[in-house]
Amino acid sequence: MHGRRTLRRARCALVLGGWLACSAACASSDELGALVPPTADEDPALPRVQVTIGGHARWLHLETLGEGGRPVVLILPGGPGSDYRLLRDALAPLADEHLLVFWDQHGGGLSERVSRPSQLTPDSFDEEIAAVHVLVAPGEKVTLIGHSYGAEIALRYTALHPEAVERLVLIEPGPVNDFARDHRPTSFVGLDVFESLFWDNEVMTAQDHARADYRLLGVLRRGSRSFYCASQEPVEVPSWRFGAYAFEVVQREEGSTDYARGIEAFAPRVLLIAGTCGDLQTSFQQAYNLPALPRADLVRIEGAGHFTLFLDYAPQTLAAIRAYLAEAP
Amino acid sequence: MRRSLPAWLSGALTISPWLAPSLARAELVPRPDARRTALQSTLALEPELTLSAALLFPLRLDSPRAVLSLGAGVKWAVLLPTRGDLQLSLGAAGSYLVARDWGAACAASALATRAQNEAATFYGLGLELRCQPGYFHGAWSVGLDLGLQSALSTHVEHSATARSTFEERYPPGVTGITGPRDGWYRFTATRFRVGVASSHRWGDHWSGVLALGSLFARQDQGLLLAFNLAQLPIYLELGAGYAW
Repeated sequence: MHGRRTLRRARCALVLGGWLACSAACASSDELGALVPPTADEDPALPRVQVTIGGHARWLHLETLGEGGRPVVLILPGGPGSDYRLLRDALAPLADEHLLVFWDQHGGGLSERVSRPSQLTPDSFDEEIAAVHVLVAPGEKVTLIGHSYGAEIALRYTALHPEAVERLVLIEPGPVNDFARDHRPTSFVGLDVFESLFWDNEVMTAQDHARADYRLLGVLRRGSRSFYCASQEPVEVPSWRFGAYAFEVVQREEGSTDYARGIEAFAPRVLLIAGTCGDLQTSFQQAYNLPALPRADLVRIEGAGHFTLFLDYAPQTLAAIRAYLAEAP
Repeated sequence: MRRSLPAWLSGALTISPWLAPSLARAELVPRPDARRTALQSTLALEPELTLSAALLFPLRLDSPRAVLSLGAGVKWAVLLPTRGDLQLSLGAAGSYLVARDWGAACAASALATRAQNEAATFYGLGLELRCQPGYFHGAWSVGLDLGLQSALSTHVEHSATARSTFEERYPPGVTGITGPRDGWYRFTATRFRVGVASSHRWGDHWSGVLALGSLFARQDQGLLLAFNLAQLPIYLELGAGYAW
């Protein structure tokens, strides 16, 4: 009887010990490329540049399209935290007349991750745009095209440095000031997204940047459904990596920032593009963002949403930008 | 009846914490004759909505102050009814009465969990340890609810969406870091539970329990409350048990 019990205990210990040993032998999710593509500081094969932001040297994932010597266009993706893949695919044709500069903001996309909220502020993004500007077009004016949060920081850069900017294109910016923030539609992500996001904690928690970004990828498509027409299913949006920490922190850090403050000093007309579907569509822009932009023309793209502006409706978006850039400032 | 404290307490503790969250609450239920088979069911917000059920079989022990039981259970993510996200548990729990109205139950369970999202399908193997030191008085009890859960090894099978994130990153002709990699990963989830639990018994067969507190994960950047990082560290559990 005693012997049998001892044997049973030994067997249990063996199984448990074996399992723990196996677990230790498993791969680590920290290994580069295990879950998400490595960032520019981790992967020197990526197109990248190093700039100084807030006293810290940061690697930015950056590439250019088009020939040098042409008018420079800086293109800023949204999120906050997103990458430029969607915009590159859609806006690449503009490279026939411009030098396009795409990059992921620090903390987002494939750019270096940042782990302090104080380094992900509107000021830090302003400093980043200035650093890229100096790098690719020193002493020259540049055109800015920004989407979503990228449009907000492009607007702020223009408002703070109107002498440095040639033209400004804002594509469905988020709320640019408290007035617009107070009126932004509040959309619940959906019970299924909520359930999935938290159930996944049973198997993987967002302990570090890679795991947090990977976890967010797991709900990104369905979690973006408020950017589509009500009857539309969210589609696969081309992307590399979404910075979950930046997404969370930048929205907290912006506080009551007025991205449009000072834009009156920018003389050229501003192009504002919006679709007719989703939270940031034409009606929102017209009612809440446009009042802060005294010299802006709103172009409405019928049927488009926040992402489909660069997918199904990319030709219309491109045509609007081309027409604007062809005009005299 | 009051003189048989060790019996009811150990019986109470038999309805144990070892079967994941669902069972851990109910061992606080005072139960004079709990050395019986019991069925437990729990509705919980963790903060996702889950429903769990478990069947428990008490073992015979010589000591009147100690109880040991074995059992199995299942937990289900209710709002994802068709995706097959669930957790199976198997384990054992021990309890011990340390003083007249004071006791504790500690338990360990092995967990097998499936989860699926747009990035991957996960199969996790893990452990949960849960301890509930408490005060027992008559038909009711109150105590702390402390725990640790860890996915020791998790198999990750990446989706086409996750694979596509590795495409078109490099200039033509450049070979860089490839991925993502399917396979087993170690220690992909660790969460801690700190809360309180209270229970009540009605008659010979029925019991109920309420537990609430914080269920939180370590986050290297220090974000303990962040929706986008799935850090909403609360739980609330409501359970019912029937013994026969």
